[in-house]
Amino acid sequence: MAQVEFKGVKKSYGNVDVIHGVDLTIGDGEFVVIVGPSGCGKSTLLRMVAGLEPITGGEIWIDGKVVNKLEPKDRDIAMVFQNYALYPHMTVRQNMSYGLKIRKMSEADISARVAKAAEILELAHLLDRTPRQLSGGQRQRVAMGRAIVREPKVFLFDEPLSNLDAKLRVDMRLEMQKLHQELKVTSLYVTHDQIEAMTLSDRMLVMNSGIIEQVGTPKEVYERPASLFVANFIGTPAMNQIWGVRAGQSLKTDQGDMFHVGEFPSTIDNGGRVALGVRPEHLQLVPEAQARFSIAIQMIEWVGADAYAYGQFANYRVICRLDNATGARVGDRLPLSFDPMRVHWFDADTGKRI
Amino acid sequence: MEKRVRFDSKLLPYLLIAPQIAITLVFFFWPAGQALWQSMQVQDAFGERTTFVWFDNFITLFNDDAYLESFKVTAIFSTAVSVLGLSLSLFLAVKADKVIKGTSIYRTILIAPYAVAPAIVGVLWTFLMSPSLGLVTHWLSLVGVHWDHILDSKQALGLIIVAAVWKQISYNFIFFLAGLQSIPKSLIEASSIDGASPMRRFWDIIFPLLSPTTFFLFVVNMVYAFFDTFAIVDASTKGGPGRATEILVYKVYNEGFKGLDLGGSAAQSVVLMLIVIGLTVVQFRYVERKVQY
Ligand SMILES: Nc1ncnc2c1ncn2[C@@H]1O[C@H](COP(=O)(O)OP(=O)(O)OP(=O)(O)O)[C@@H](O)[C@H]1O
Ligand SMILES: [Mg+2]
Repeated sequence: MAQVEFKGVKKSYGNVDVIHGVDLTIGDGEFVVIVGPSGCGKSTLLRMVAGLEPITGGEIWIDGKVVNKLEPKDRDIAMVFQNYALYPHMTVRQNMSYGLKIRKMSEADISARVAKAAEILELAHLLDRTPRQLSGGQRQRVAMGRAIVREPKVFLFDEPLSNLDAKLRVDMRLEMQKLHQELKVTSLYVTHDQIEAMTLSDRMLVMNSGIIEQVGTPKEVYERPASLFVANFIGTPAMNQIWGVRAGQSLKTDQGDMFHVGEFPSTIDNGGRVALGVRPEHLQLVPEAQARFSIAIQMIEWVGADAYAYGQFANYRVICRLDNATGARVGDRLPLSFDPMRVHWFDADTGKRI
Repeated sequence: MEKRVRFDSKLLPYLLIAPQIAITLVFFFWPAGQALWQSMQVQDAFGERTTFVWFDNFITLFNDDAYLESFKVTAIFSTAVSVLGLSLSLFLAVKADKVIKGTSIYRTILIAPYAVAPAIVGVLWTFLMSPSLGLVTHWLSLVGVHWDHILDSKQALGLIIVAAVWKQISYNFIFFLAGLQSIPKSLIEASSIDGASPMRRFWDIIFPLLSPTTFFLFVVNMVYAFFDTFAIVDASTKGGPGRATEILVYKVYNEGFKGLDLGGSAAQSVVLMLIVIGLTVVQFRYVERKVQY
């Protein structure tokens, strides 16, 4: 177990910069999830920790040692790949013990460790099969097993669940959680699934084109997104955004529509351009007289317990969570309001939270 | 889902495959039948009388020390060609797989020998290794090796092995390279995290994953060494000195067309045909077993 530190870590391929300087400390036993859209550099960051990609700037520390120059095998990490990367010609047992054998561990110790990991992961009855004879979920568990038996200082996961079907993914997510409770090994987990990120992480790290947008607990990130990007990326359906300038106690949208807001943060000057963000669940259906604005329902998306109404206000798409009991229909007008304490303000130029 | 074309007419499908069947009949079944027929006949010295003798030619053949010797030469030759050819081309493919810049140049150079006709390969290497003016002979003399394949039967065998291997390397190389490139990169990465040194990684991971390719190539190389090396031998050693490099195909030609023992020569080609059928069956049966990634 160990602490992992990034100090100004950069990565470029030729003259293309992919990671623009990451500073972060991951505490001992912490589970940190890296999320971000495709191509933002999540895998690259992880692979630099693993030693599979050279670090082109800054330093990575594991357990108090700079590892920049160390080979993957000397970093004492274990990695689970998206496609599992099991050795197809070896049995499950051989797959799991290969790394230990190379490290010249005694036969007795190896079988003890394999047996223990197999028990935790419920793989005992599969030890003599080859990966080809396993289902996707079982392969995934073997890949986990191969990482566990090594008892490394750090676990690295690169989208380990993304090849599984939806149901299995939920099961495995719970298992991952249990496993982490049990082992408490420092873990870095890459995913582009925000539910995985929210449920698994102690802290999550939201990345956008090589830059860290925000680091924080899932609750912090959800409740106080640091930027428009994070606000958009975390939460389904995405946060509503309305752009405009402050006109006294009201917001005047770019299209000229006005609505009353009430309190503005003191840092927003009259005439300053901002983006207002409000989550679909924080829009309330109110009597016509109290409405700040209203939308006409264009579409209703029903997702089990809730329904979402889609509409438009001054060129901006507005999504509102509906109680199933409202019985609203497409075409109805919804008078809406929000609690001023629950809205988010972003600088229109920088996208940063105000 | 299986895709099947349905024909309305019964005749059309047969008509469509008729050209292929005609070619197979004319160029394979007919000569093969002729060989089989002739292998059971004996002709007198002037070719006037032909007698049907059943399997006498085969019995004579397998009691002939020279024939058994030729079998031995062929066995050594084909094994050497396959093993050397495979090892060398695997080595080159592994190296080429690591090259990042100028890949296409390396690959083109390595593939070029495949375009050279076998007879020219024979002549080329005869020149390169000629006892009096060969370039390679000169180099060999620098390290104290006296090369004269015209007198030394072991060296003569060495010459045709070198020539045959050189020609086949390209073919093996292409397959090995494709095989290497189809191994997922993450497997190699996983093994480096597991701590395998490059050497161990090769023997524990890469080589086993290449085994279907290797096996396929081994069979192909055996067939090549048995049958396609006639021109190399003919253009270089002509089976000599003595019979030191007289491989089976060359012997068929020597005895049939030079010695005019048509019956005996036909019997030899029938034996060769059985060998190639055997190798082909092996190939079809086992090459299908593929390792899945
Ligand atoms: N070998 C390479 N050469 C040049 N550019 C590369 C190379 N590998 C990755 N990149 C670039 O680096 C960026 C980050 O890639 P990376 O694989 O880290 O993305 P990612 O966040 O893991 O995406 P995904 O969710 O799709 O896996 C991408 O824009 C990609 O095009
Ligand atoms: Mg990735």
